[in-house]
Amino acid sequence: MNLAAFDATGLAAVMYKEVRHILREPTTLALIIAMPLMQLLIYGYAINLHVDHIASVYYNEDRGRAAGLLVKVLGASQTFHLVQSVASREELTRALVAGRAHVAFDIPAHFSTKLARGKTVAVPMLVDGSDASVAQAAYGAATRIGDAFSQWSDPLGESAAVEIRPRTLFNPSLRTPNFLIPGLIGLVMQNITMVLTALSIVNERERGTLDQMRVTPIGPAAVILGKLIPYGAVGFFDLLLVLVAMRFVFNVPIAGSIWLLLLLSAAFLLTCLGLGLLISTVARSQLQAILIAVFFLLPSFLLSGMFFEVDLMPAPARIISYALPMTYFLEVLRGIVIRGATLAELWVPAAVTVAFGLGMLALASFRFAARSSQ
Amino acid sequence: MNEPAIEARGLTKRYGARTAVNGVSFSVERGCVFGFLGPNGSGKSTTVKMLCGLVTPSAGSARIDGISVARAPKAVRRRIGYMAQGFTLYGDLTGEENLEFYARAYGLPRARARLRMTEAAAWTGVAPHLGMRAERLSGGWQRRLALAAALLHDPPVLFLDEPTSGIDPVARHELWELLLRLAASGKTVFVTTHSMDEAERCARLAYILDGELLACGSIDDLRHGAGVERLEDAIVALVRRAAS
Repeated sequence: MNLAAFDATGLAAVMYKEVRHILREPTTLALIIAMPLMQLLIYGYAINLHVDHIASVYYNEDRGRAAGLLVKVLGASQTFHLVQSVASREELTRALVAGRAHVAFDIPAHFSTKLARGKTVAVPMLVDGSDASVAQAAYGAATRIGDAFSQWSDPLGESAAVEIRPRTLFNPSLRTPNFLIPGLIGLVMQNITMVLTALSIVNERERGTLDQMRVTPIGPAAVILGKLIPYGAVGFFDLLLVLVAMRFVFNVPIAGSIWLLLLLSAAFLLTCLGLGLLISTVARSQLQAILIAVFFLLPSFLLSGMFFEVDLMPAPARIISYALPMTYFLEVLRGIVIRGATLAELWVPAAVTVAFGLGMLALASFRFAARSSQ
Repeated sequence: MNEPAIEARGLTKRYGARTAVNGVSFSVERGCVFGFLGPNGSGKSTTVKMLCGLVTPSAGSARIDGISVARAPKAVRRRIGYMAQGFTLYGDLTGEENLEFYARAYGLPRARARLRMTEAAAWTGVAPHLGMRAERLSGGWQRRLALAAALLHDPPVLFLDEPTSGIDPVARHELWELLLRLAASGKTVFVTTHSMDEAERCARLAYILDGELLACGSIDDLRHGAGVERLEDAIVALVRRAAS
């Protein structure tokens, strides 16, 4: 092509038909409008880089007046959000392992009497180091609150002071890979499996090979499983690839049970395969399948808690978060890899992950079978 | 064994408010080439898909060898071969791999599968090209490969939707030779087309327009019915009568 020989008529002709192509497809058109709006809402509204309201629990062994005051001060701070008062020291650790809280305060016995006698009292603070920015915000706020409380509690005793002493429970060196790579496992599995499954089915429908297959005695269940099992194997292979790289290249240890991790990953894989199958029943072309997949991947990426705390999002964004299978699987992944959580602590997100897997697969299979003979 | 090979009773397909096929009834006896004529979009493919069980009719029923398509779809599928419009095998697989897949799809035992693949490839003449990726074959060879795949399970009834569209005249001639030989060997061959010279090679014809069956019978039936010499004139007369 000779680019110098420009002709305006040709340009107008090509543009004319291109605009017609865009206007013709309602699904594509809807995506053109919905995609930027969704990104705008997520980036502009849902994502909050400022860390505050960290879910926290406390154990008040002292129960004295000063201890009650400290609890009030902690609760009134912007940084901590006291979600629960627990009954024992062991409960504190359990709350962190289960992911119910990221910070736990341990107010010791005789706290109030020691302060009254003008002593310096240490208050241990357990911090979940999974997310470095959360942990650092907790350290900073704890020092400030300790200092302020010491000034404040002067009337209780001369030279009395409170020192909140942080101890980081998981990921003590606050490494970012330890936080991000476990989450990446879910994203990689979802991206690859969902897109490959959807494309392969839409491709067969477009080319007519699906109908050609359907006149053979192969039943719909065999078609679905015959498609999903190989792509499920691909997804599982990618899972192992990321796991090995995580462990041996990025030196992220797996604190919990690898078998539980693999088992629940298999359940999440069902969700990914089901989503791919579901997309294939909606999309009319491969391009549309990719657009729908991207449309779905974006919130899975930004609203699942991968980078930003779900708890800090405004309510509407949180509703989307809780509707995403990725949110629960991410809890499972980080729980097992970083905090060494067991099924006893993770049973809620684990159950949701399994339910999503089975439900999605059932829904998609039903739609696939119903759409086939129209 | 007096059942017709193919029987359509009041076959109807509606998509929303649009009726694609409206109350089409006909029957096809064994061992003949049956031509299903009509312009593009007249409901030919939809009718074929209903006969094969790919599309569920809104009303009416279809039988193959006396077996209900709706009630016993699996039994029907073992008795039919189907070649869709265009090339609907896997372009990225070789001819051999495509045949292998369809042999497995019909659950042919190993030895029988090998034998049938060799026979079908030899009979259609596609054997020398089996090692190539199917997408690299010319349109004519692709059709013959598809025909070989449709014949692997030795079905008594074959449905071919526009088998000759887009292939060169020589390939087209040779494909028709194969279809006539199939019918001579006792198979029932149901072919959709909109070409008059192909229609003239069919033992019996049906003409469909806007989803309505206008006529069904032998070429002579159609010509005598319209009182004209040529088949083409008979069809023009049919369409004009339907329009008025």
